[in-house]
Amino acid sequence: MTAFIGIGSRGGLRSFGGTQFAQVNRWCTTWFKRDLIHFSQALTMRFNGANMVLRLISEDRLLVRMQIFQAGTRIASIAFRIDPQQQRAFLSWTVLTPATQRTGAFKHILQNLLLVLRDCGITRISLVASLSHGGYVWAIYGFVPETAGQWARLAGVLRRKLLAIASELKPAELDAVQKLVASPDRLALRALAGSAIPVRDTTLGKHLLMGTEWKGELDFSDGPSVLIYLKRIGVVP
Amino acid sequence: MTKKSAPTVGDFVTAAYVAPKRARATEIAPADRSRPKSPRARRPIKFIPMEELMLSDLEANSNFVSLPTEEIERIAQIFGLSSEDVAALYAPRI
Repeated sequence: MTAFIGIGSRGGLRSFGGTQFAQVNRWCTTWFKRDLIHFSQALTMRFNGANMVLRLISEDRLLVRMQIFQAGTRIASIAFRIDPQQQRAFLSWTVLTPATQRTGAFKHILQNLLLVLRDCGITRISLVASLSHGGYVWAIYGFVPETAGQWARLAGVLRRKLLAIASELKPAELDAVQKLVASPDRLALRALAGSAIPVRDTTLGKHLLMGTEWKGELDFSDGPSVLIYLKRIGVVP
Repeated sequence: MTKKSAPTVGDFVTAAYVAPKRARATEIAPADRSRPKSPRARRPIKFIPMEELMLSDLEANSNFVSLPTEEIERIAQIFGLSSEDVAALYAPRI
């Protein structure tokens, strides 16, 4: 119950098929305003090719899994869901080969994704910031906790971590950080993530957020968050 | 460094030159089965989460980790941070 499509170099169609091909193509025409080939080509821009598996789940939600190739080698895999009726997308996971470091490949993937999501009328991207680096990195990339409840839960974790290093901070620093952790405003996460207070050979923001897990979102209607994200992924200099 | 041994006459006798024995089907060697795969093909592709690459990209330019000035000002306004608080929290010292 899927559709699949293979895009070769220069965006050429290499293969396609699957029992849901017609339905997925119709989905693209309805929400993306162009057909499935254009949808796939937009996600493959600046890469040599891709294999994609697409599936419609519960009405109008589209699940996409994609393998990305560069010079004949698979360099990345990504999975995401698009829910155009709710104007939301969910970034499930993305992995790349270590060889893509310093090539900017992950930025190109995120740029392509952003363009496609924008054309599908998506207004917010959500994800689970987790693993060892995600809790810190996504906060620095402009994501904030999805709900006040999510922030309250994370704040509890951060408060415990802060207690363990309280003696290493100056009173004024500790005061300012405690004020942020105690705030009900979920933007406090970004304020903490960006903190440059040196702690244990790193920054306070990184020390507190590395290894944490929280459900985050990037709301396109929040100008400052979007600007941070666009700068981080290289759309805006 | 290893050197290939010189071919012997036997190496030049290929199946094409050998007539099939009577009442016995010609044996067909499976294609490429004996040929070892290249080291590149044998090596499994290792993937790492994108977050690791995002972090190393951030750390490649330490100034890039800090928040934009406008955002620091906005945060200070929202949370009522004084200029001393802002200096303590966001002055790039690493």
